Amino acid sequence: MDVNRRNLMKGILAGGTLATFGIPRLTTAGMGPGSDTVKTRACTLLLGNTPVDDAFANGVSAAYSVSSAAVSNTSAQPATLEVVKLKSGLLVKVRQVSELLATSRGMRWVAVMDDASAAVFTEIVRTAGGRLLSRGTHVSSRNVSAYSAFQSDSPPLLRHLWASVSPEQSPGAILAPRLVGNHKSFSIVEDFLGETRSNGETSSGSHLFAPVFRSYESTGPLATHLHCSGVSVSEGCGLLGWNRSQRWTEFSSPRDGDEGTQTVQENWHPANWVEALGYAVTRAGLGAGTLQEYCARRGFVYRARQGEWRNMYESIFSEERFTSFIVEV
Amino acid sequence: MASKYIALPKGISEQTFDAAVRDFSRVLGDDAVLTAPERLAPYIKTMMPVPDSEHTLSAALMATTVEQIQKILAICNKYKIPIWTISTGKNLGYGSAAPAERGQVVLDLKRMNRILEVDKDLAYALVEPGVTYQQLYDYIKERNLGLWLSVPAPSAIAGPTGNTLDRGVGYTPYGEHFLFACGMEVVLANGDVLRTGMGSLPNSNTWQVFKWGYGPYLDGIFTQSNYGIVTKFGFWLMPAPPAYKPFVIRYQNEEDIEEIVEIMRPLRINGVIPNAVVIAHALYEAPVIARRSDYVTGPGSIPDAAVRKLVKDHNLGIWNVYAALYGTEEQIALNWKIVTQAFGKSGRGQILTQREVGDDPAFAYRAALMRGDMNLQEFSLYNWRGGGGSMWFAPVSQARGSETLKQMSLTKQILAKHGLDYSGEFIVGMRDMHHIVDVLYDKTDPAQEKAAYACFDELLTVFSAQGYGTYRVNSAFMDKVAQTYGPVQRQVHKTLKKALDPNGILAPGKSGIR
Repeated sequence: MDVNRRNLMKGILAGGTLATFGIPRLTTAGMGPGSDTVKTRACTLLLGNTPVDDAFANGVSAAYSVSSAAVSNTSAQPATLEVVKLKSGLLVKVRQVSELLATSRGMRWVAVMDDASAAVFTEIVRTAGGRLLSRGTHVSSRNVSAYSAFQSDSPPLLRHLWASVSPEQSPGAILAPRLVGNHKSFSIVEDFLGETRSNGETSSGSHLFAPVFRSYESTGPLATHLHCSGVSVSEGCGLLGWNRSQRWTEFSSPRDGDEGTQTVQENWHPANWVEALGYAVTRAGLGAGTLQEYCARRGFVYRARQGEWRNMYESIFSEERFTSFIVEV
Repeated sequence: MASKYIALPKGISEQTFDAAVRDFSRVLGDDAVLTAPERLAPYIKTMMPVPDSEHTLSAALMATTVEQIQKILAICNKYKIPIWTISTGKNLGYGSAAPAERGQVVLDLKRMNRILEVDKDLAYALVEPGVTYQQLYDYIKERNLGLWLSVPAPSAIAGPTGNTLDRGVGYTPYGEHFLFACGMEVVLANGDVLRTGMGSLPNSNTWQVFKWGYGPYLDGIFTQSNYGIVTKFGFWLMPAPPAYKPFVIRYQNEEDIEEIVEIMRPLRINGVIPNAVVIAHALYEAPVIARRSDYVTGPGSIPDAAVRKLVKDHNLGIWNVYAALYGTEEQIALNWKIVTQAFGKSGRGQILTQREVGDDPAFAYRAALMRGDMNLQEFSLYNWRGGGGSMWFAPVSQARGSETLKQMSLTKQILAKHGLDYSGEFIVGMRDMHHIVDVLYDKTDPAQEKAAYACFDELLTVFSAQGYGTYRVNSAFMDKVAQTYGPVQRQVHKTLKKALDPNGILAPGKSGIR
């Protein structure tokens, strides 16, 4: 069996001598500030044999470090993030993955795999009685003609589409500001399944994740939030394929001097968008640091000021298509 | 207004649904009644170019017995709650496990997974709906029963009941699955339990060996329909042949399909080639071994020149004919001579066996499927475009060369108009062919999603106008396809529905029937 199971190790890309990456156990996603119990959660990273595995794992590792630091003052016991790498992919190893899920009760999984494997993975999660918290489809294309066409309605070259249980478990708000730092136009659409109760409150904390975005809300039959940077709300709607005639109310705008600047104040900076994604998915999976917006649908649209093709960091992932998951069995 | 459910059945208040859920829980237990969003999320991905919200379920129920199903139906009748039944729910590209309409309750029968009987001598099986092909495959292997399955492409994760009830196909000589179905147990909407064919006779031991019983043959009305819930399903298995010889014939021009079909038809009808042969276009094969982005970037369908380069690079045919011979070594030797003479005559096709192709992954997965082994490689198709969009376009064609070429050209032309690729194959029946095209598109690109919808709609419109019917379709287009078969058939379907399910609780919308 070539399902490789190992602990997440430092220097995963370097491939040098590796040490177990021990971290404190983490609190559960739904634990409120008033909670007096700290539940533990084991988390496993499933790498589906894609070209982006290593970069994604780097982001996961960074997120785990940040999350563990956040709870390092608790008396919780250290836990290890396990990594399962499917050397020959899920389509070949579907039985092993099914068995793995079946024997991992109570485990939360962060996974990345190609779209074909993802179609099957969704099925085996359901068969295993699993909980699907978030599924993201990610596309980076290198359609040269579209560079200029981004002025019109052509979609950005980097696109993310998420179906998540709720904003709390959806990575978009964590990912968006980190992608801004990479100076590449992108779009993110998130659809939420769960409760969109607002208790009368609207989102008011957009500065937590994206000061460069202007934030709008639309309260039609589907409560929707749209965060735009470098595009108008109408352009944003067009790029996401949303109805342009919808009525939008702005509820947050960038502070002076914020627009176009690096927005994430932390020590770790992703080397590329895949690392940023691994980070965001894992942070969401661990339930840490996600802005809670009460809406059924959310979009982010960002148009970079600089020529996208000049971003050297992106060239190694010029054409990628894959899927990420947060699941619990 | 906020609700504690992610969706509600059409016309049902939250209060009424609360009451129904409480009743369901009393029958099944709380852990078998799912309403939490994270438990329902794995049922929702449809791959269709419509919002998943249009196919969001309100709850899922896990029944394990016929008696539970009867009680569930009583509750559904009481509150007028619609239920959408799935066996394993692996109808990928046709709507998966999601219901046809928002708010329907999914009745998931995956826990009804007992293999009730496998008869080695008479070569049949009787199973519950949750049994998977993998489960049955293991059962047969462990007991060394010497029987083969016929499986569709999702093989291991799918099951015989759901696949046959949706009239799916496999690739062995038993590939036309409903042809080999024999006897069902069906729970009707009023709770009655019907056993079809010989199963209605007390103490009968011929339920799984004689299909017809007495009087009108009923099994057919429980396929692609919503007239009952099949809880036991009988079907025939193929005795493992002493020898098996898979082969591929590669042709290098799209027009060659005329020759292929003209040669193949008599061989199929007279039984020289007994299995459901596949004639796969290069773009149906390519995803197993190549990436689209290595050959084309930007919008639009892949140009013919790029396809030719891909074919050359990976030693494929533009058409790849996969077939097999089964029987004794002597039978195979004789039939092999007939096959090679027939296909060798024009010199256009290159005939290859396992020995010549070595470990070619495309051949390996086809060879596995033609002997009923578990293999999921066909799903590689979903990597071709990427972005998670897929719909199967499945018109039926005569097994006549000119017809197949016409269908292929027409399909390719319409797909290209919408910027999409032709990833198609023909599965050869006796006199018909299932023309199977995976309409692949990127769901992250709103324009492409819109194009995919328009394209599929146009395919159905144009094909039906030319007299080509679709044999199976995803749940977003069921009404449209039902309409193409005309008002009289629709009215008959509706009349049967009214008679068997007056409250319309069973899968409203399935095959356009309400």
